[in-house]
Amino acid sequence: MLRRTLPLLITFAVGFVLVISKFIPKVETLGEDFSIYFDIIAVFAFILGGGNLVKIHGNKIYRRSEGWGYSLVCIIGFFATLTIGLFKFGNPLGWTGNVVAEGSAFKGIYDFIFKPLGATMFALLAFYVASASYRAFRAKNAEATVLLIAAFVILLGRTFIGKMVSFWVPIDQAGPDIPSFAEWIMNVPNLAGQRAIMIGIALGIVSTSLKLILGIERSYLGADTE
Amino acid sequence: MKQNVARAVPLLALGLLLLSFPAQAHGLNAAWHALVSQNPEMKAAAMEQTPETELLSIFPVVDEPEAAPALPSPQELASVSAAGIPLFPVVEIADNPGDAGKAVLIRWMLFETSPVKLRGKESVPDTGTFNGWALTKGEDGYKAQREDRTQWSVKILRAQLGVDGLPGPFVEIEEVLVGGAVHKEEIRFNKDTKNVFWPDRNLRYNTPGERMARNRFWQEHVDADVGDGASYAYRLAVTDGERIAYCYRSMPIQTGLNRYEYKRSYKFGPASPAVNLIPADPSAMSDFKSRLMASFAPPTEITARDNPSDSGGAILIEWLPSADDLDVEIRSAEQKRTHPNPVTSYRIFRAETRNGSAGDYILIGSKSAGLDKNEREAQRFETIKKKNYIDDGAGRMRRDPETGEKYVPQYSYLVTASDGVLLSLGQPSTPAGARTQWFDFDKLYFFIVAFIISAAIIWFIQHIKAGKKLFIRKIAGLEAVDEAIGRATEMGRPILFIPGIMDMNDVQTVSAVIILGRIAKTIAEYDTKLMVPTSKSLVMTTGRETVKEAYLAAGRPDAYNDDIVTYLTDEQFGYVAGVNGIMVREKPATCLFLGAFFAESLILAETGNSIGAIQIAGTAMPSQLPFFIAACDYTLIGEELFAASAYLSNDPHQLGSLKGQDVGKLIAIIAILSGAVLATVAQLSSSVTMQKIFAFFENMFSAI
Repeated sequence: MLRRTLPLLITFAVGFVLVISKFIPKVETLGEDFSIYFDIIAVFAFILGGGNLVKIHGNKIYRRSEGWGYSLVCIIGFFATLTIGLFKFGNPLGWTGNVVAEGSAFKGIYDFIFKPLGATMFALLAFYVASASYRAFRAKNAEATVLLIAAFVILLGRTFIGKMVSFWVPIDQAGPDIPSFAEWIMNVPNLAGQRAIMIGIALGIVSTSLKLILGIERSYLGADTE
Repeated sequence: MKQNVARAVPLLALGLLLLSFPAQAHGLNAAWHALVSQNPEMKAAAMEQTPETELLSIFPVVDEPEAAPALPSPQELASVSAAGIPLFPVVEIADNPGDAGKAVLIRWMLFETSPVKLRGKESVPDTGTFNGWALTKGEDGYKAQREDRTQWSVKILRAQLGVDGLPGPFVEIEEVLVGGAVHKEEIRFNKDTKNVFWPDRNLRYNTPGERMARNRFWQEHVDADVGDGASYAYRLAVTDGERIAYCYRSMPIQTGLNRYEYKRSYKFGPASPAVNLIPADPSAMSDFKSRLMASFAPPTEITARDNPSDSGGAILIEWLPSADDLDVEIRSAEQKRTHPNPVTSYRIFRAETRNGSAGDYILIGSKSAGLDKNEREAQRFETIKKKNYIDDGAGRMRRDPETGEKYVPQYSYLVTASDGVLLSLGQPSTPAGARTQWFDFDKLYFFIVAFIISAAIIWFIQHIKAGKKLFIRKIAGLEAVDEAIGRATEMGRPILFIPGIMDMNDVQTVSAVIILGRIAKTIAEYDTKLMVPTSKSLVMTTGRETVKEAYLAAGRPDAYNDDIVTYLTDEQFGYVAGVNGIMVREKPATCLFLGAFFAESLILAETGNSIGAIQIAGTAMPSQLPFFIAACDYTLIGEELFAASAYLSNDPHQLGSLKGQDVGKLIAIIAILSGAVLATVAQLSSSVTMQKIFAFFENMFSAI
């Protein structure tokens, strides 16, 4: 009973307070408190996540599974960062200093290892945009052709070439040139489509939230087969 | 041929985009120069009326009202004389931008008063010298030049604030030499009367070694010897070695981490007034007024009241703009050029009042002169031209430490008109306190619409329970789920499910986990391998529970193990690297990306595409939808992600909620059509009633 009813009651109470806190300023702080409770719970759950990471990669190393060397690097990186962060190695202010203080080893790991690695992954996006655009902009049918033309106009309009090739409008004057057409595409058809999607999303969120608050949807509790 | 052209076009466009980067840099450069060329003489036309009050130094000098411990050395102060110091700094102090904390930016502009004595109605001789300045006559005025051999210097003093918010002793941290310069200024006069009208009262004091043109008059010092997160107050002093004059102390400034490097162009904005703290003492106030009073009219009818419909902590301040604020009327660019607005902004000061007396007035914010877009909008139907400012730093109800009684702190407000340097003070408002309201009436229409939609969803859920059958349109992406699972089974490869990168407090992740439960049941029945790497620990634990239940429901509890749902890392791109590695190594036949995604969406989807997996994506992040549409076979767009759980479950309770959403869509359609018709009619007709109806309608939905 407790396994299913108690979570449902908590969901109802918290969900209800969060909804009314939007309209009743007196309980606004209570709503903020509930959001903070989530953060506290998430911190405890992080131990589970870390434990899972160690368990999976530890097993791989123990069994010498394929690619166990990568798991070893992962485990060494995990514990090295954890130790350096916990014991504040190289922190100019010692134990009392901020864990990310300038000059600390932890900050060094972040700045010189973590950030470049993250940026490298992010940089891949530029190439993936090119390959995805190449496939998406092929004029296979009428809809794809419209997409191609719109994309081409926007690409032109967002560069100086757009103004230069708009020979029908003098270069130093405003008028119906390609950049303004690109702006129109972004502000009218594109925005209209986005707003329609956003209205649908908002309604979907309301519906899903109601189902969760009222306990109609409970499969996320693992109680679907009750 | 046609196909080649179609392929070449996007590549050409991409090339043009790359080529345009230098041009964009050029455009920024042009904008930079445009800002640099801003002429300070724009105030000239508005300076016909010069106040009779002589503008003295802004300093309170040696007998300044601060307590003695706040000064560096009372003995030293007693031995110097401040008489006749002609320079005063206008100071701006801010957390140094673009750093990791531990630095404060102090910048100042020196003004010169008494040696020049340029005041209105004072005639200029045709040639020769004028008050020590060598004049050269030009078309519109005189070029004046003077050499100042005095070795002036600016001292910067700093005090750390204690836990009580009061500054400790001020300590000198820097002395900057500024004197000994050759001064060049332009003096403008009326051609008929030969009266000086620019500058009307004081001159900017050029400093030697001028920096970049944009920063010609500003000098700055970065104080990097401060603690991270600590609060400090600063004061500046000007000295020639024998005499010294101190400025009022600044408002407290706190250092902190700046995540982004700000564009330094913010310095083009108007400077803060020299004094950020106005003393509450009436005699000091009058002294302050005499020293800072500008020639333009002050704002009037300053009122303060509790900001309505909020959770407390905010006070609404309203005032009538200065009579000299020309931009409260709509003016052409030509008018603005020929008659520049002497008032550039309004500065708002706050003082806490206890037992009927106000403390020091502290600068809390500013508002630009003229009318902003909202204020112009409000003026369409009414002639009220009040400006307002919401102070959200007011204190909530607190307990008196001595008496133990609860009270709401009361505040008085002072609004000043400013030209960026000088102030014109209005009368302080009557005290007001901030209270918490029971209902936010600004969201009344939002509440009504939300209530109707919620009621409709609940009603339809009940309606379906009664046995009514409803039509639900087919969603291609969800129809393809079974096909995708079957394909993976046939190929003997795993299925990869990514529930986004947000935590369980995001409704998209909740939807993704619900869908995972439905899909996992089918996967268990097909006896196919499932992999669910997560980026949040809570998602992992919730996902495990859900998948475990699904395997149990499918009658395959033996096939379940905890390694199906694993945790990788919370970090966005670390997670992407991990998932991409799994994709490349395991080569799943089916990839499902359902949940909240950001920049990683395309990296994941393109990697999935490269390994030939059938891909189904779904997200409610509008900015990521195009990427998924381009790279995936099927995409659940926005609301379809939320509808998926109901669709897959075929549970009547859940399907009823879909019908309820349709009522919301109907309301949206009616509102859009009504708005379009009303806007068109209001625009075409000159009927004020129609315009009022449209304004009401617009206001109703703008709160949503």
